[in-house]
Amino acid sequence: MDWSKVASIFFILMALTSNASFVYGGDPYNLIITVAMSLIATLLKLGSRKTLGAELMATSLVADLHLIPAMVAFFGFGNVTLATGLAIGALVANLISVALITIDTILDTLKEDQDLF
Amino acid sequence: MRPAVRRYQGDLYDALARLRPPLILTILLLLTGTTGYMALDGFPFLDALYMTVISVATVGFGEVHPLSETGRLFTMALIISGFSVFTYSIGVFVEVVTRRDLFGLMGLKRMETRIRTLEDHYIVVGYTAIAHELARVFQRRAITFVVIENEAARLRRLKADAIPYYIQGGYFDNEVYRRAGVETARGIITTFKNDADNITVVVTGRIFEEATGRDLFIVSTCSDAQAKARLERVGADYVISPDSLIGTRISALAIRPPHLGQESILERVAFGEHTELDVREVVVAADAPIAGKTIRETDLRRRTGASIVALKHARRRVRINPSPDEPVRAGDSIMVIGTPRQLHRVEGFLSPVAAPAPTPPVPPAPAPPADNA
Repeated sequence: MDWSKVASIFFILMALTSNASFVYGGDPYNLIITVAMSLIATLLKLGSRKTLGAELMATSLVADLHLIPAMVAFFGFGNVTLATGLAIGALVANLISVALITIDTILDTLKEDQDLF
Repeated sequence: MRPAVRRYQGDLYDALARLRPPLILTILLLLTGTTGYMALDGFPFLDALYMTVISVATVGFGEVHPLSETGRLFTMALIISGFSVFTYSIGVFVEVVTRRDLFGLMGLKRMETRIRTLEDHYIVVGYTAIAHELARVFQRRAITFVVIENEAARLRRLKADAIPYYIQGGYFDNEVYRRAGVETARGIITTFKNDADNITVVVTGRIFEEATGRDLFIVSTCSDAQAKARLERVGADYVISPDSLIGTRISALAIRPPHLGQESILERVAFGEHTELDVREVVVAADAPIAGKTIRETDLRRRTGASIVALKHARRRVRINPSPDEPVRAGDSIMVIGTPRQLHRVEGFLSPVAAPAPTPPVPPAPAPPADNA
């Protein structure tokens, strides 16, 4: 089993699920966890040699740039509406990220099959 | 066309990837600390984050709010974890910077990025003694080139000579040629002592030429006449025997030696360290302003400063030092001599005359080769 791939997908999915939790429940802990998971997911995508590496990195950066202002809005100014709106934006980016990683995995599998034959 | 491979970028990312674990641990530590203080002692977010940072950094500032007993236990655990992560991070950072030569890799990545933007450059395969001299001339004349080298000693020499562009890799590796920008290169130069190596480089160049559809001017050195024939057979555009060249030059000096104690004018002008002299061959196009005129009527010398030293009418022999009354017709090749600036003026003057591709600017030989006459 490729543990680096497990870690990478784990943090991407954690960022997505905690993000969805915050959008649904508006809990501050969820927002902090979402930001941390999203930052770790970005770190793991940095310099990735995957087929869709650049696209994955871009979507992750989009999520971070929504979530960090969301945290500032939520804890700094108490603007829950703005924070939720930004978190929804990050959720969309995270969904695209998951879709991209699925496509990338399929492409990798096809490439491995081609190399075998 | 396949995109150029960027190996140094990959190496740099591999080195940076080593920094991921400490950064991830730091983020997780901040997450645990912040949520911990919020949950255990009801700290507001910013105070919890501040408390976490000062605990992890072990700066010893006071508590921002009174801590419960659980909070104190939590702080102790946080400080111990923070110190461990900090020590580990420092170790990894030092390892990446020193053992993996992070800054060196960053420089190589920048160079690789610049090589990708090069056009009409030469690829010099192997930094041999001849290539070393060639590089000096190229640098003096601002001709762009990328060296492919793989041997440690030659790489050290190459770095000592401050060669701006080089790729470390196999001389016959297709990927290395792509990284050297073979798709946009003007030509390939190979100067190995071993003819088999030169032949392989020439063949590699021709394969790339076929694949990209871009003409490459391939120059090679050879050890003897037999090797020259082989190299020409496999596709070298120009094959030079260093031994023969040196012999010709020494014989020229021996036949007409300079005055004792004085440097030969020819030596100084044609081969001197700071010579400005250059020769160029151009083909006269049908619509060129000089087509159909005599050399005198072209007025090239007065208008540009450069002189016509040889002329070759289509399908006829080369005329060295032609008479001023010699006609210049469309399709003729003329060889002009002058400084780079004068030759640049010639290009403008002869416009839309096209220079034969490629025409490498090389110092003039002491006498035209016999087989050209």
